[in-house]
Amino acid sequence: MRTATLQKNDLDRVIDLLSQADYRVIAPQNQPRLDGPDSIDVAVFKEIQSGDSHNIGEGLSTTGIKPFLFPKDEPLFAYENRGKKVVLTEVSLDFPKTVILGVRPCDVASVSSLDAVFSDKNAGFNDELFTKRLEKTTFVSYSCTEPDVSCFCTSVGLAPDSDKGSDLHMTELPDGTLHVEVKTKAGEKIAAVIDALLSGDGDAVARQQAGVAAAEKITRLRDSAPILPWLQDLGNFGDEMWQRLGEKCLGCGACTFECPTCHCFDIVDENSGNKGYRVKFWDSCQFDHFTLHASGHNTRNSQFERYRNRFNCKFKIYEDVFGEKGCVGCGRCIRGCPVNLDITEYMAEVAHKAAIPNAMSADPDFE
Amino acid sequence: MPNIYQPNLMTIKKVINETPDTKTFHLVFQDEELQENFEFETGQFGEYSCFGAGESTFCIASSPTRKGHIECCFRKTGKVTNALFELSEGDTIGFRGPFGNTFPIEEWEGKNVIFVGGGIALPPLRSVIWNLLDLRDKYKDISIVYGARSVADLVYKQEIAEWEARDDVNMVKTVDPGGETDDWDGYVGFVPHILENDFKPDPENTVVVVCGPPIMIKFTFEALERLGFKQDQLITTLENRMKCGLGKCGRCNIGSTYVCIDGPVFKAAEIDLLPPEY
Amino acid sequence: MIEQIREKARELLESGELDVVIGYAEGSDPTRTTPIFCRKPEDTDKLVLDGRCVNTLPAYLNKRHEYPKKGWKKTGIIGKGCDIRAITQLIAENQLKRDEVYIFGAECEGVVAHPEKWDGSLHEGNCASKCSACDVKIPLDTDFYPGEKPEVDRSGPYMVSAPALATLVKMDDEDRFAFWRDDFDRCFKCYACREVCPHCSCNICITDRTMPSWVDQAAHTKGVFGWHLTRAMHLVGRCTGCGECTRACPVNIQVDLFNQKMKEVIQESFDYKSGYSMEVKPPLITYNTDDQETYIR
Ligand code: SF4
Ligand code: SF4
Ligand code: SF4
Ligand code: SF4
Ligand code: SF4
Ligand code: SF4
Ligand code: FES
Repeated sequence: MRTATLQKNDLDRVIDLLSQADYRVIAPQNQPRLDGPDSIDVAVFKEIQSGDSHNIGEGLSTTGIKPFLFPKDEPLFAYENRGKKVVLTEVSLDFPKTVILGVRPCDVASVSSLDAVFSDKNAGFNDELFTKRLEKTTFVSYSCTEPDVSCFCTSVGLAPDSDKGSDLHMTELPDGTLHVEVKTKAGEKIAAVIDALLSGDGDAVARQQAGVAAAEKITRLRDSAPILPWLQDLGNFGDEMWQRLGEKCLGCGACTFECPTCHCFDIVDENSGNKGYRVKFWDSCQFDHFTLHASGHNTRNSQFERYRNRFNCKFKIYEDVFGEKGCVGCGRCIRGCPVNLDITEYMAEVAHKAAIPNAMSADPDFE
Repeated sequence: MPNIYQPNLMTIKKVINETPDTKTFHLVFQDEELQENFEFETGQFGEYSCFGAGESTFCIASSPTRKGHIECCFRKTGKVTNALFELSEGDTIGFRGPFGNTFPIEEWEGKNVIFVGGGIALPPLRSVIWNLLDLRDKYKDISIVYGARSVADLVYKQEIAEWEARDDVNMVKTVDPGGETDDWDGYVGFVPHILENDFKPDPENTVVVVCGPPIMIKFTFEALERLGFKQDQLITTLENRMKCGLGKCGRCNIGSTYVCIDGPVFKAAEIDLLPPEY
Repeated sequence: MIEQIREKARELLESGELDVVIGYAEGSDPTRTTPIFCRKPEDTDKLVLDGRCVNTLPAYLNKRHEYPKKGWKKTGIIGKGCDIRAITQLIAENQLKRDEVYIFGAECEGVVAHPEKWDGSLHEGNCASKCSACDVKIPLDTDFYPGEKPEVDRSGPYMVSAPALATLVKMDDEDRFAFWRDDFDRCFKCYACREVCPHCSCNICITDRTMPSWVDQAAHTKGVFGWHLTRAMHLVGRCTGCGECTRACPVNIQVDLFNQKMKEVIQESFDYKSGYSMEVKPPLITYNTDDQETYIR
């Protein structure tokens, strides 16, 4: 498919043209912050208009693009109790035509993990709130050139320049131009809209080199190959490492809510008077009440068990159920964890344990 | 088409007070075509809503052989079940389903079948019990071992009497020590104990279906294994916390097994391959 | 300093006087430290104490975090001055008994506002604002303190430390509301701000209660405002100003500004500073017959 060159300072023009072509444009944007030493920079994906500031190409946003496919809260339908009758009203599944710009490779790869869960590939149930949004969304991804200390995409089969899941992929070259690669039909449409800004056929060699140079900057390198077989050995479920590494976890949901692939949710009725909405909203396996039965029985009773579930979810459950990893190596759960619980330490520990057969030591306190 | 989270509406045709905190509803779809065409198999479950309170998961407690309505039976324990408990005949509830796998009743043809249930866990068994009784000549001996904390906690008292009266069902009932009344005519003791020491079933050509709290399942399986039963003769249902019933909300998993998709019916051999998170 | 603490911690673990010592160890990258539970004497070799030690470790003494389940009879804990203030407050609120803990303290030079800002040293540009108004750099109550502990006058009133609060107070109501509405738009109710707080000690937080539901659970505007108002109110007179809630927020919502403001209010109304006495109870969780308000009687 087509490749081309785009000038980086034409990105604002790209936004103009896409807006004019009736796309809702989403891009990463730095958020205003208060003065004083206690605040840090935060960038999130937001709907932007022509002329709005954005920070495409400047680091990995604090949170990903998940909210535009799977919002943190959304109504499922409205109900009204009328005496003995109930009237239900469907929510609209008509979503705006959307383009998300400047999506990092890990984030654009995460879409496939979400799709595995929400689409009818999973047990035949199609969550159209997700899939219809996905149909309407085009992803313009952007290679990383400056991965940070927490990035580990290369340890989960991705790379700072991977284009898995992308419709149109851009790579910033050392000369400041962008190498553009059209990947899908949806990407072709974007290319057509911005055609006036595209020239030539890009520089495939420089793009390749930029990818290699970026990958070399990644310092968190883990061998993920031994993880699946080790986790699949049920005997290791009671290994001492789970408690040792996990007991400091405080059970907040920061790691799961920042994670681009975490998909867990709860459903609740929000009532006012005789009517209301049934609402789906993000939930987390790190919360103590997540698996609490009405009887009081909790199937994951300690915090380390909840993090064990999280690690298994990413590296075993996803593999077993969907045939892919549930982690794209974005490192957000590392950056955001208040107690520096680091998923790559689990990866390293497992690789270490897997390398020494029979080194497994059962935890005496484990029931 | 509504999205997969939007329930179908049903009318409560009948309410039966089983125990002071347990009720059975007889339910009919408000959409006539759906009522006509609705099908399920024994063992499957549904998501039942009380609008304004939310959704709760329970099995379909009636047998697929009995058309006309479906039944559910629940104990009030949380927000939703408390709200459902307040509803009366003629009221509307929501239903999503049927979800999950089913009891492999074809595999049991020509065999003796023993049902073992504890407390509120009789409803899933009730569905499959009636299913088998309605196909009675395909099966050999059918026995029901049912126990609850106390006489007051026994559900389906009417049907227990009906099963006791039948000569093609062997009905064994028990209550936990201290839960008996003066006129109690059943056993006194925990289900696994009664099973192992009084009922003593013969493993030959027999399957056992056990439903109850996790701890009861564990002890019952152990007792049955001591009696010579093999793992592939033992079947149970697991009830992890569920929300969506669709494999999406992520809360019912036991390792890589989603109870809402891969369950709720499991063989003992399958449970042995699961991490201890149920 | 840390050498002396290590030595003492090792000695007390060896003698069995302590079951565990909670402290800081090197984290998974050079800008971070991480909480560590030393159970074996040799674990104490891993202890560190410097400007990267941001966590308020007394959060682990909060019974909600499975502290009692761990079967520790006597817990050693390494605390900065502000952490020890949190311990003091936990004791004042009957959440902890003084003889359940053994407190290691040391003089504090301050901590970095956020690990992201650590550039090898602590300086004005990256030091947490709480440290600028700190009167417990020499900690209050310790069981072990390396060297001689000088007397410090801590009789002064509570002083708001965050410059951002002054900025916010200067805004008119509409702008301030707009600021929080925009900021709260990022909140996804991960509750990191709750979990890191040593004083969020309810076994079941009111926001998690469903019978009835007090606060909408979903993270829409109403649910988020509901949560933050509740949180701010429940910590009035109890927050010891560690700033961890802000530091832990993954999307930089400075929630401790509410708490700082309420600390100022409590100072003015009740002349009370939390975390300085194990005996004096926080004004809003006690009832006195000479309280100003009459409606409650
Ligand atoms: S588990 Fe962590 S590193 Fe992996 S995708 Fe989620 S947030 Fe990113
Ligand atoms: S890690 Fe936890 S919250 Fe994330 S998808 Fe898996 S089970 Fe859900
Ligand atoms: S690992 Fe960290 S971010 Fe995740 S729940 Fe535990 S403390 Fe929170
Ligand atoms: S507030 Fe005081 S005791 Fe706490 S870190 Fe800052 S200087 Fe140290
Ligand atoms: S830590 Fe931040 S995102 Fe999480 S609940 Fe608190 S304010 Fe919201
Ligand atoms: S409210 Fe914030 S600043 Fe106050 S004690 Fe809790 S975590 Fe620390
Ligand atoms: S109930 Fe939601 S995934 Fe099983």
